[in-house]
Amino acid sequence: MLIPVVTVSFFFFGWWIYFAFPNGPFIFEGKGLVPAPNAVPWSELMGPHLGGPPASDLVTADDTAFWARINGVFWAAFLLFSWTAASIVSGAVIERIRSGAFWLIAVMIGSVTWIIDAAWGWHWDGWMVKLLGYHDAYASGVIHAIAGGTALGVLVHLGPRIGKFRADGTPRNIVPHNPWLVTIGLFLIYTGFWGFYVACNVPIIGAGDIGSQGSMFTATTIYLTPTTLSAITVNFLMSLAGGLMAGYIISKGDGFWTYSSGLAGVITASAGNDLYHPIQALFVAVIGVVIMYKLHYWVERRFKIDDAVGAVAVHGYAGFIGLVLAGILLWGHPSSGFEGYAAITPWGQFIGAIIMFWVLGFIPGWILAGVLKKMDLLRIPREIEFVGLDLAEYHGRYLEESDVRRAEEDEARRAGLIS
Amino acid sequence: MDTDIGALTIIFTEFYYWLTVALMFLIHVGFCMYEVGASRTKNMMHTLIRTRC
Repeated sequence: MLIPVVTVSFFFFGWWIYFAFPNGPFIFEGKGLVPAPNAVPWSELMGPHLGGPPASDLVTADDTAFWARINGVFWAAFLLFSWTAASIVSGAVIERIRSGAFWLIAVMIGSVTWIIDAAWGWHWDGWMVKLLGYHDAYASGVIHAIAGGTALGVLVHLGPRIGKFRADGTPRNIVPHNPWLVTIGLFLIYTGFWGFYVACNVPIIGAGDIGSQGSMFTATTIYLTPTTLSAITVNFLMSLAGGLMAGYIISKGDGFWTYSSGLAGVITASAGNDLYHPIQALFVAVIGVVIMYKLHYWVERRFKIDDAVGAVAVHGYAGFIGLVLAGILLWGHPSSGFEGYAAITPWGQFIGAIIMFWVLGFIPGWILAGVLKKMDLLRIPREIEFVGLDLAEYHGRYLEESDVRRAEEDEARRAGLIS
Repeated sequence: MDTDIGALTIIFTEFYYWLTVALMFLIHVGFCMYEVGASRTKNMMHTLIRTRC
């Protein structure tokens, strides 16, 4: 149900938040909300439109000419990011969270907190870009760090699955029931990441529209800084390779961690993958994977955190590290083609990483999960966890299966096929 | 949309984002398989239907 609840809420208010909140609100020069005539749910541009003169005073002829063919597909691309943010949390909390609690958390991150961070730091006019020089071209922070932080905040209240920790506090490995499915799933996530990467770009724009001169056309990042599909394709593959190699070595060939580390490598390099040299992207991925792997086990033992799929590490820690490394390696690069924006700096990226992982990630997740826990709505009852959620909720299906099996056996016995 | 290059730019941009959406669906097919595979058999359907899709 993640997909429908995030989709509907993103239609009604998530899209509006992106366009309305780039000033903070009130953080940048005390300015408040920005009008967002293309994104309020009652706008004519939220429905089918051919770009002719506006039917209402809410939008101008320029708005309809520009947005009519772009608004829907741009909304959908952002929505798929929203699903991804919520999906990262879902992996961490499986096997013990109540469905309703998870749906509320999914709406919070998918249609509120991530899109606030996008307005702040993943928008050509966002206050974090202007004041901090925040640079996060392929969403290390705005998707992955925030989602990992949110997952950690929820896990603190949710607690570990029964049997995860021994009496002396050491963790047990709860193995996947189907390693093939896990592997193919991770491969498909890599595949979908091609779409994710290119969706972070603006495909074609005239130089005059991005603070430059002349008649050149180019693809740009979301910050309207020029880039090419070639650049990000090579860097994506090199960071994937770096992550896989580092994961294979550090986990001593563990299949789960090797594949997850490929993803973590890409996530670490994503903040600067528009500007890195491919060999930088490779080493950034290696560094991110080594740190996130070590941190995962340290946090698991020290704080008794049971993250079922390692999502906090693969997305949260890797995303955080990626932002910090981008600050060091890209120190001094312009964050924008427009005049007056701060350049990329280590401190700007570090503050950005804190905002993504802790301020908009961990804290809202921790508060919402805490409230749900107080109301006894966060975790499934202990007895249901013992027998399994499927027996509790889908017992009719199992009863029918057993009934049919018994009928088949009776038939076979009557026909003398079995004794 | 009133010049050839303007129309081409906008319609290319529209198609480009549409294509990214179709590709990004695969992330969710992947997450779905991954999380169901990672669940124990007793919780599989719940992960598939209640949490994931």
